Amino acid sequence: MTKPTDLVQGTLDLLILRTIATDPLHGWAIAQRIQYLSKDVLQVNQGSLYPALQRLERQGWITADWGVSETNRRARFYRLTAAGRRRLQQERADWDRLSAAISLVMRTA
Amino acid sequence: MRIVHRIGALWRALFRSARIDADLADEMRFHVEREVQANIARGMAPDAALRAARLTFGSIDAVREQSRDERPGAFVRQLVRDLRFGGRLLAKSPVFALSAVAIVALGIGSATAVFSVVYGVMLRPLAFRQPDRLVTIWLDHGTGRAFPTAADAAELRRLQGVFDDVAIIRSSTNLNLVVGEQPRRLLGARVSPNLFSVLGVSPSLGRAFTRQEDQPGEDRVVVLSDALWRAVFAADPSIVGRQVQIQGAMYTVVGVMPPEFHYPLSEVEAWTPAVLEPGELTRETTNNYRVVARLHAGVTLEQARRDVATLAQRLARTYKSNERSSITVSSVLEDAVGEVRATLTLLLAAVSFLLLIACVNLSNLFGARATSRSGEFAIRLALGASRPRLAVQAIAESLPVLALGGVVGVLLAQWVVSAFVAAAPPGVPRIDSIALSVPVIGYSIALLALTGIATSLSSAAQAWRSDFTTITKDANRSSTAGRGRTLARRIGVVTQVAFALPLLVAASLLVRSAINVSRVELGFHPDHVATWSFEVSRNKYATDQAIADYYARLLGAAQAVPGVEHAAIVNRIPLGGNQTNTVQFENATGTTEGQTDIDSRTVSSDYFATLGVRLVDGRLFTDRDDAAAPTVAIIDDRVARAVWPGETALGKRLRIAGRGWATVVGVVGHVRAVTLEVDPRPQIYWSYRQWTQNRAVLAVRTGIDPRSLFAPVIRAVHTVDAEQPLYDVRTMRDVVDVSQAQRRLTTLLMIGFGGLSLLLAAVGIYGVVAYGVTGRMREFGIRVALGSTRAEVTGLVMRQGTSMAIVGALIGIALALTAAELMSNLVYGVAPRDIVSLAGATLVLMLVVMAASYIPARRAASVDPALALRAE
Repeated sequence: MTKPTDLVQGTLDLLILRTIATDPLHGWAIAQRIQYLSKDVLQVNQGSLYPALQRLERQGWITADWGVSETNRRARFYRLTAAGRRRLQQERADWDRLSAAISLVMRTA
Repeated sequence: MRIVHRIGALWRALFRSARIDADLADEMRFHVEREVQANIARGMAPDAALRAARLTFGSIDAVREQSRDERPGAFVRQLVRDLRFGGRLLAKSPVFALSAVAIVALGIGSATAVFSVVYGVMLRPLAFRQPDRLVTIWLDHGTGRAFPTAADAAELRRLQGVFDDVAIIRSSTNLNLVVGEQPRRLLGARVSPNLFSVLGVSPSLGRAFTRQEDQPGEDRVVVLSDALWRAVFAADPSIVGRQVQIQGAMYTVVGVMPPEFHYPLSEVEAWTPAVLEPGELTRETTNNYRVVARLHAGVTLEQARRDVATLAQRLARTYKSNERSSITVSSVLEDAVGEVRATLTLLLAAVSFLLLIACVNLSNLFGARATSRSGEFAIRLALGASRPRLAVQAIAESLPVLALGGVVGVLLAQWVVSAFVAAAPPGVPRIDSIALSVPVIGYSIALLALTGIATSLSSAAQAWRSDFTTITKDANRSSTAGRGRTLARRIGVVTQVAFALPLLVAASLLVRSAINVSRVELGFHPDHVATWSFEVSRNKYATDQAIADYYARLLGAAQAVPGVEHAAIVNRIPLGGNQTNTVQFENATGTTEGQTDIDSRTVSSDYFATLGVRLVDGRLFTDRDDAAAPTVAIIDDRVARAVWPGETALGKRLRIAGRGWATVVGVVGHVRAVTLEVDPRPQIYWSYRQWTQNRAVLAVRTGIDPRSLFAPVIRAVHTVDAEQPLYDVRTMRDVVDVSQAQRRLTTLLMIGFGGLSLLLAAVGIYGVVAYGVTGRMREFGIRVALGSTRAEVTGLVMRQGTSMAIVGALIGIALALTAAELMSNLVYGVAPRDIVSLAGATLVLMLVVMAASYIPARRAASVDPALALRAE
């Protein structure tokens, strides 16, 4: 197994927003989803996941409700707010432009 | 929306912190459980699965810590922790805490109390429309301000484009109001109908006067004050249009003024239209009026003053009554404040000095505390605390002291102010607007913040300069490390002494003035005299003759009361208000400069014996000096000497405008008639049968306690007229004392402030000297061991305290001399830069300072050299 890549803070925020864009998820599921979608390349450090969730919640981009998990236990489910959706679009556009620019440089240089 | 969200988050972070923590913990537990289940599903053994899950998750506590630190309001939570720590430190030294709180409370409390009086009296806008556009106008005949005449007011009204309108107010009168069977005395003002529109205040009920209601026959209308309406008419809204009996005639109530409306005095309860007497506008007869005017839009006070000065010159050329008279224009607020301005300014300066001394004292106290904590600070620094954190912790201790002291101080001020309003000495204007209002509280909070900054600076600086190396050093033993700190503390002591001295000087100036005033030659004997004031209704006693006869019957009845030796009628007693007239002397051989503006009193023949006024020459009035006899006058010896020097005044003639020539038949001693301190006018007396007035004071002299006559004389008066209300029943001694109440209060306050400042300065000196002694005990031990005598050591220490005091006193003397102008209107018979007061105050201060440094000096001298050296 390769060493999991450390995520830059802003990148983690973007990933979380993207992960819960379709349906509400609890913390563990968010971590699992990111790991699964990145084919185990990105492992979210739980120590940074929960502070990140609280930060996003404070900024009003996501909100959380207590619900019942797939294992029948009380869990907090996070979902995007309208502001969070706008934020995601913007971050995504920024990311696309940035990564395109970086890969362009990498390919041609 | 964003802001609301933020505030919500902050609120939750501050007050729902435990809840957030619990939720987070639960969430993370769930995370771990889920991980364990996933691990088991992947085929791990249960305990291996748990271990693996914990391993991936890491420290739950670390996450919680990080979450807390990132939450908003972290700074506030930090501060609360520091404050708790500060509170615990204070609780460990209650004596220090209590004295610090007491100093803050005294400083803030006295400043708040004085400022609430200053604000209420001097600064708060009057309850009129655009009060800064209102002016009052006075004449000045060279003997101080006097009321103008109706003719003068008419001239002012005719000035083009200076005033919007000019209103006149006749001096307030006592009215007898009868509602049902009950007679009630009330203070009424006769005013021009436009007064309310000039002041820009409308009645809260009914209407103001119409322009025609100052015409004879139209004038039986009255506007009531809110207080009278509530007290007598039970706030009956149907009062407008009702008839009430005033002075025996029926008046129609047309309006009720709002509660905050008071003019020209706060005690006025009713306003009636002032009807001009025939000849007033042509200066054939004169009455005097307070004049208030509203400046025309765009006209400044200076412009109005220039235009009015030109008018005054023209009037002085045209009319004999206005010769040598100037006209002054002053703002209504300035006028309402009047003579208490000097007192209030002095008191405000005094409390500011006191507060400054308190700040320096606190700063020294907390600075010393911070010094004793230098070891702790060094350890904290070594353990990784930042310097700003140390500074905040050093200040944290002073915050609870400030908060508590501030609250106690404001409560104290609230109590003092309400006590003052309830028992204020007479003559304090605008007393009803004195309160702990919002601007006053704002001022106190600002002062508290300044106090806080001043107090915290030294301790914060102390913490900031902390050094690891101090852990290893015993701070007390080193004589060089604390040099900067010691210097700061000495400057503090010098400052305290410097600001305490002017307060002591002011206190001693006021004490000397009070002594001088108490020694003033009154010109009458106030002991064993009782007085009753009353007002005769012209509707009941229509003619002068009827009133004079009524007075004679009252005198007869009073005379018959057992214990009464002399009884007399006078329109106003000395120190009980005055009536002024302009007098013209026939064949004056001396100077009439400053003698023409005179104090008039109409008296019965026994007046001089009753008050104990000395007859110098000629005779007193007799019952034969009546309306049918030639008009006679008695003058005081001061005017007699000035106008007819070197010859007798008897047989000379004088007159006042509107009355015929009168012959001088007697000369009596001069009396302090207006106040004990100001004595501007000569006095002329008239026989009550030749010039009869409706306002009267009945005065009797007795050999027994005058108070015991209060009730019997009232009963005697009521045998003559059962409906006669009497008021202001006082002994003459009380009248004299009350006239000094304001001076006495100011003097007591200054003694209090001076005493407090002295106490604080003494504590300050003691603290610094004692601290120095503690650090130098070993040195003193060595000195004694090497042969120094105890006296030499005592002297050494005392010189330290005394040298600081001398520097402080020198600065203080300079301050006192600079601020002496503040006192110039308050001293009596002593110069504001009086050398005796200055020297006395300095001496007292130096003695106290020496006493304060003697205590630690004794301790230094009693050092046991063996012990001090062995302590190594």
